[in-house]
Amino acid sequence: MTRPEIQSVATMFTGLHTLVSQLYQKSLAQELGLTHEQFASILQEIAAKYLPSSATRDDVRELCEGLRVEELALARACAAGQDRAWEVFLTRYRERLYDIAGYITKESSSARELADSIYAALYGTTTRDGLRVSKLSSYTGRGSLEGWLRTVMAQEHVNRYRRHRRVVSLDEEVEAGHQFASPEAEPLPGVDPRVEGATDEALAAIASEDRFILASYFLDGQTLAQIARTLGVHESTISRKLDKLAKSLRKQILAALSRRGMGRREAQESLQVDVRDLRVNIRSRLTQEKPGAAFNKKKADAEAET
Amino acid sequence: MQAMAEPPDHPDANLLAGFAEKMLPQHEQIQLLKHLSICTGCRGVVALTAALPNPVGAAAAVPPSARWFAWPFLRWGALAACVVVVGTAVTFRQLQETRQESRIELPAVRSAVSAPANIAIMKPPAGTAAAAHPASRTAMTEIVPGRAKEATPQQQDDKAEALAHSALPAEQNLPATNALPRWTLNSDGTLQRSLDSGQTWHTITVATRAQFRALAANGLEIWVGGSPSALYHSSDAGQHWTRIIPTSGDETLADDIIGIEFTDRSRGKLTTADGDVWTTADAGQSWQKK
Repeated sequence: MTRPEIQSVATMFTGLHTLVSQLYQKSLAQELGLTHEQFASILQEIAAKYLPSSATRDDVRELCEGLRVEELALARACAAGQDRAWEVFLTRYRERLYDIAGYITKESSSARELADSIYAALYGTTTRDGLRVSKLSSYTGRGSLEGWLRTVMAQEHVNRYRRHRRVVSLDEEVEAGHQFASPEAEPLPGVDPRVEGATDEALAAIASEDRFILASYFLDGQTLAQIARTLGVHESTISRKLDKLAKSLRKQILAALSRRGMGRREAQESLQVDVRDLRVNIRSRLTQEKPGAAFNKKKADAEAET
Repeated sequence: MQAMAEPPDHPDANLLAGFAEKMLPQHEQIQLLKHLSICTGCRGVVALTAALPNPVGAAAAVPPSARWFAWPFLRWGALAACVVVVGTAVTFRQLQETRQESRIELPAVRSAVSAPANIAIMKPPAGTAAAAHPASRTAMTEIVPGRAKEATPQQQDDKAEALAHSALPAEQNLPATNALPRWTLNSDGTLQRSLDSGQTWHTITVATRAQFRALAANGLEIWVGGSPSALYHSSDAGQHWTRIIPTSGDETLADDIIGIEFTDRSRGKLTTADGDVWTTADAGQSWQKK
């Protein structure tokens, strides 16, 4: 049964025959064993996935024209079991898979294991209703195929790290000197709830990109260079932004504390005497997940080396 | 402490890859950022992929067709042109001496005459005095903050020498035809120009440390901007470049430039990574920060 959203998108595609034909030619899908109808169906599925039901024909056109259609055709032809497509895919990407795994894990046996597991998922070692299920059927051409492979491998690596942390051997932990019967924890210094509220208010008001930078820096421990690379800007831009953000946040928090009835002097002192200084306070307010679930690459690499 | 709920609906690998490669439209990039700002797991994935070397097949700094104009070929091309020039000049003199008056078309001589700088000035071997002045490598004029100034005669000589050192072959001098150049920026921030409607592209060296993210072209005028706080202008389609440092009052533009718009030769607008907007109404002679 066709999903309603695909039906409505299919309606929009009725006026886009020329576009679909052009993209089909550009994608070289025919050489890889995909028919025009199969290709059109793939485009409809992708449009239904990413566009709302209120999308216009122009929205559909814009989305489709932005897709990496040649790589999309290759991936979907592989998923459909076309041998010729697999030959092309292996020629282009098999070595890269192992290279990427090596860069991610920094250790050859883990890299091989990661690459092999991804390769198996791409090939499709599981079946559903007698048909092979390949991970490549979920590639949608929004980015390059290699970029998608890198992301899939990175996700698998992060998931493996988290699973490993949950099931780590207690004996290993004891031998490593970790103590489990911790002494009675020292009570944390009391934090004025007005400070927490003011910090929450200030953080909620900042732009997503700024929040992303703060979280990457304070929570994830990423370097300025790493954050700059992710956002495609110069490292000095991130450095300036962080300074500007910290100053602005301090100002906003002080203003919010004043609105909560705290005098200026008292507000400044509360930010100073809190043993968790402003940076630590930001870190605590940015945390959204349970402790221990965060993935830290430096830590993961260090653990891989031991 | 109020912990927020686990963020729902994690973006799939397609969107995360599209985000990392800057291939998503603006509104989707913003949505992704919103999710990434509250999701440690997805941030970790994006950080991992951003740290990897560029994918194979990413736009090369110099397209294959332009390799013929890389320095080793240019050197031998220029040497061959010199031989042709000398041989032709000798032949022409001999012809004159025999009093033949037929007009001889000598394309090689003509091209030498039209672009003497590119043939007469050879790149000095590394280690020589001339090679020790890399500042002349780019035809660039440092500008005192606030105003674009005309190059001094010494700077113009530097520009001529820099032209010989540029990545362009002699026959790329402009404008031989009426076709306007086309421009593009690679993912690594290098500038490329095509003079044949996009059939072949050549890297244009503007400044060694700059990574460009925005450009605006209008006829032979071109503006490029990027990081670190880099802004350059050429009025002859990239033959010569001038660095511009906008100032407004006490403020000097120090952020990376991510957007440039010029509606005509004089009126333009810059957008910085911090969201500031700088405008000019006199082709960059003076600027106002909005």
